[in-house]
Amino acid sequence: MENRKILKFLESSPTIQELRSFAKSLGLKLRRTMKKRDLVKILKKKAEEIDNGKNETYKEVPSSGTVLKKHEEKHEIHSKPEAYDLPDSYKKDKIVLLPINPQWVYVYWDFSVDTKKKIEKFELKLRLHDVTNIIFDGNNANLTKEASINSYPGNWYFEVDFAGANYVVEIGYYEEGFQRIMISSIISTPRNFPKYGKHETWADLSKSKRRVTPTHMRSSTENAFIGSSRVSSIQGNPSSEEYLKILSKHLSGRLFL
Amino acid sequence: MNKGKFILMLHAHLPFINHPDFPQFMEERWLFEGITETYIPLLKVFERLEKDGINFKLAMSITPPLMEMFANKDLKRKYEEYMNKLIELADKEVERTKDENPLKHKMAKYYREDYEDILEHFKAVDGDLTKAFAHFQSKGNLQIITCNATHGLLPLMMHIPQNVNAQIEVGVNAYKRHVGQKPDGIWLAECGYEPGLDKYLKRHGLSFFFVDSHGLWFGDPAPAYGVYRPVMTEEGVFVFARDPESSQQVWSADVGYPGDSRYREFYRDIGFDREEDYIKPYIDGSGERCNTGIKYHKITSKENDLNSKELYDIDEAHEAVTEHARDFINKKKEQVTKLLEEFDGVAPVITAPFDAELFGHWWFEGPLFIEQLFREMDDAEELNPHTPREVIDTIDSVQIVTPAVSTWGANGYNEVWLNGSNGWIYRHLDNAAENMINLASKYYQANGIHERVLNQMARELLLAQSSDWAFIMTTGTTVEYAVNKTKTHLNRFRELKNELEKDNIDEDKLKTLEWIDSIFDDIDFRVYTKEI
Repeated sequence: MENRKILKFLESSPTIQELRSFAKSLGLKLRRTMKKRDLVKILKKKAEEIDNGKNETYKEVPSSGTVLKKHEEKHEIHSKPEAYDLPDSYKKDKIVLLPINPQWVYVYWDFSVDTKKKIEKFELKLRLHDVTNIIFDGNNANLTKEASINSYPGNWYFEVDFAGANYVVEIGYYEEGFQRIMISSIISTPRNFPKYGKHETWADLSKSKRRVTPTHMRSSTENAFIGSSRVSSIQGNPSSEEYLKILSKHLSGRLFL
Repeated sequence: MNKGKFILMLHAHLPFINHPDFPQFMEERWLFEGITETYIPLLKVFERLEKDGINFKLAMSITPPLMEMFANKDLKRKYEEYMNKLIELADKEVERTKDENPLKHKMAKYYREDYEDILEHFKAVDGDLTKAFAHFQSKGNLQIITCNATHGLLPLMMHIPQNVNAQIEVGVNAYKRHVGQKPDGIWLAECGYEPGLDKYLKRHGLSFFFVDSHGLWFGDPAPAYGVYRPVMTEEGVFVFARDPESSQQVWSADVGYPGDSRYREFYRDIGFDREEDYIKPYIDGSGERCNTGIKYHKITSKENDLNSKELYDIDEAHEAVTEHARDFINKKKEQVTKLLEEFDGVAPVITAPFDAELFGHWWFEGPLFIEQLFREMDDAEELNPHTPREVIDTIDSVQIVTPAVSTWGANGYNEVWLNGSNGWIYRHLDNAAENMINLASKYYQANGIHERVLNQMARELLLAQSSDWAFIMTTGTTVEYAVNKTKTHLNRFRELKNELEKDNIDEDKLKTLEWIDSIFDDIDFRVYTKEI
């Protein structure tokens, strides 16, 4: 949703009813007592937020684990769910790396009380290593990216260079070289290109046998059934981009919300 | 000459939403709308096809949360109340539209009759919709498959194997309990696959699952027939992949069927259009307006804003359905002919998976489209509808392929469920899962009230893991509810854990949670001691 869309909507002199449903479709909190000018106000605020980039996803900046708004506002809505806050830290040493897509990975970390005490005076660094096809010994990564962090616990989005590659992330500080505090498990970024082998394996189901044959494409124009679709998967996978576009335009949530 | 095999796969899912402690709850309407607009209309389509002797075959995943809600007494009672109110409203509309407009009046009468019929259907099976669908399974028309327990996104759980195992095992058990037999296949939530998952599926006796197209295109190795023949993983589990052309035909923003000007407009609803005093008894108790399901306008054109939509004519819309079903089948015929030629006569298998709720809830005419599609296919020489099991039974030789990491979410990976709006949930979900695993071993011998606490903790954890909450945070509507659901279940988990560890259990509170978060009655927390 671009802010233009909101502003354009506001220019169309909407009725209070339209304002309410539009604001609702943006997930804004509404109170029954809200007057027309209140609704216009929150919509303008939302447009400003978008303009300032608050809604941007993958910004490579640290975001704390507690970006959640406190639910202080009293609602008059009859069917209102409960609201709780979760702990900022579980006071355990932990670092977890998760794949997002072929271009991004996500890391979150937490510290025990003891560790936190020990490291307080250092400037902490995250180091993301490309360890594809190597046995990582701490110094032989194919490629390393570094980020300075300032939150305990915290999380970070890293843009990576390769799909179908292996990554590991460590957290530590520099003092006569890099001092590691914790290291994650190795993960792979998803592959977004086809992998052709010299051989293919087939299972003969009636004889419970497997046979290996040289690869041969079953069509002279391979594009006809793999290639062309592969392109469309990247440029316009209909159950994905289109799907979400339609969803966000016509519906709320998974066709219902 | 071989024929093409067509598999229609409908994924029916809603998150478990149950607030028996409230007389009515806005988000419970998702289920009620699903029953009224999608699930029962689909059953009615199957009945008509059966009666007319049409050969129809399809697969449906009815997810464990949905089966659990279908079986929930509070929700059944509330659904009947909801329908009685809706019929009352439709009655008023029939009177009111007499003087307004003949097209509106025609629709009002349609709605009244339709709602009465749907409620009758519901009562006839005592609200047990799983059983109603299972009837068509026993006839061989429908293959019902399961889904992982609470629709958690498995590729983001792979670092905690017990989590993955519990999602699969509990999903399989729920199916057994509701359907009375073992599930043959599974729909992995969000079509989410990562190599290694097949081991868990194999272990739980599942013989097939589905992936998005790129799961096979980028598989290891790229399969010889692309997405048009099932493959088998190293563990011996069959994989069906989504045909992008079928989805495109239905979904495409430019040419997709549901956007036709003659179809019903989703967003003009009398819940918003009628004056407050009149509509108040039929919307949320808070007075907040919401959809009622009674709508009188058609899409008209993309240029028209909501206020300038024209009135809907159901007969005109039904003509569009017939055209679209015919067009869909014609394109399938062409596709099959082309593929047969490329494959030297080997029968292509075209797999078309969709969210079931697309049909009926948002595309009002969708169930009828499915009906027409099977009627058209009945006359087609080029292709036949099949269930996945029927396809597997015809396979002599299958290629071994490891599918690639993939989901059917935007751009094909995990970003819908892991981004700036929802990334914060994973540290909390992982922490709860690790606690669950530790406590499950430590209290393995637990019985009585301690066992009940641990079982309830397992329910709270599973409920927090629904991919729905992360999805809603991304799409940006009803975010507050999704955030609170995540936090509420995690918090209930934490409170139960504290009570257990201090051995200071509040039994009344436990009873309340067992009543509210009542999913998986027979769960055994010890599932969290198993990896694979």
